[in-house]
Amino acid sequence: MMEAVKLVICSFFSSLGFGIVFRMERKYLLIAGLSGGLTRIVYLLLSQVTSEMFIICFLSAVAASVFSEIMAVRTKNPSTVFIYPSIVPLLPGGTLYYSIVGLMLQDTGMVAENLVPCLHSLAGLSIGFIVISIFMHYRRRYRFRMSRKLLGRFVKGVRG
Amino acid sequence: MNDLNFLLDFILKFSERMLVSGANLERLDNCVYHICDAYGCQDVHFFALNCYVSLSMKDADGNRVTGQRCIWAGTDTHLELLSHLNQLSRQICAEKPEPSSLEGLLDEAGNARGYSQPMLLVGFLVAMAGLTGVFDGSLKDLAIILLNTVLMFLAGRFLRQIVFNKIVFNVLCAFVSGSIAIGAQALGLADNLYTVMIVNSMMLIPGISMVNSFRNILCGNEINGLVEFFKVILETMAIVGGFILSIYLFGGGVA
Repeated sequence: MMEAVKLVICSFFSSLGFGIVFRMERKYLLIAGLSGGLTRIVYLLLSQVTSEMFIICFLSAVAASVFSEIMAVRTKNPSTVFIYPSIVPLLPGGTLYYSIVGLMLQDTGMVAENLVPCLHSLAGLSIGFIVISIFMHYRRRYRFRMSRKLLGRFVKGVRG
Repeated sequence: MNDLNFLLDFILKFSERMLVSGANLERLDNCVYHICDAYGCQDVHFFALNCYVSLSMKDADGNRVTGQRCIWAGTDTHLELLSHLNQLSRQICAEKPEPSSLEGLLDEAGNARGYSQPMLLVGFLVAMAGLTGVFDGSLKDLAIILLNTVLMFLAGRFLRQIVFNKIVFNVLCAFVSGSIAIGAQALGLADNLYTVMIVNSMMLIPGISMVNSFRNILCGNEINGLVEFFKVILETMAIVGGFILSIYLFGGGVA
């Protein structure tokens, strides 16, 4: 339990730090930290249920994405602003590093051991973000069309 | 210049700034098509890669303009600027200002407050401290990681004036960082060499580009996705190369 709390706190600070590095507005830095902590909590909870990296990263990315989209709508910012810091704790830096070490040393065992989970994590993260962003894209398009339709009816009504 | 030319010029510069500050391609597409729509442009064809944009459009009288722009500056993520540019596109769509005034508005949006260099260094230190915890590093490791972070930050400021190539830059930074980590371990100042190296490499690994490249491939922007993916692999190989070079020169196992 203590280990999990430590990981959540560390993820909070790494996201907050990257929020500064990515030059987020000061007023959103706390949100950046919270999104990192939330993503880690989801990640840890899912790790208890499954060991499949793809599923864990996919659902964690979905959670991070939903949180970022909600914040984006509330603050009228692009969701990218909140997504970037939130995914930092999930980036498979370690496995990517060892995969490339394996490639450079022609150690196929090391490559196989690290590259597969690395690609699974990347695919899970990307698909998780895409699912939510596509949903939001169609939602925006639908609302845009509806507002145009309503405007058209209003203009018709005014003209009599 | 007529209005259509002003608009074309503005959109190309706007696209460049969006991409450099870290916008994804769908967001940029969305903004550009909305702006063109707001000004009544027809038959709009917009194509963007992270290093190139091209736009062709017609006005109501059937006059066509086409323009393109190469983007030499790599991505320098600036989320505040991105947010300002996004708000500017909304404002333009709502208010439709004179096309000749658009460039002034773009310059105004570019005046983002940002952070001072010491504050950016603090950001890196906080981020690296957090990642040390995630990778289960000890307090000794943390001290060396923070020392390396300060050195890499300062080296980054200095080297960027001379070395424009990210791959060479990564090799040099990873080599210096790896050498310090090996020295620290030899003196008993660090517990786990690889924790130090991996956490410090997170400062250089283009993680966001890595996810974006996958996302682009899956979203139908395959060319951009593949180019970006190979760039990520080359940059990561450069980091690992720098670390391996330091290990070969100063000792220690490779992994």
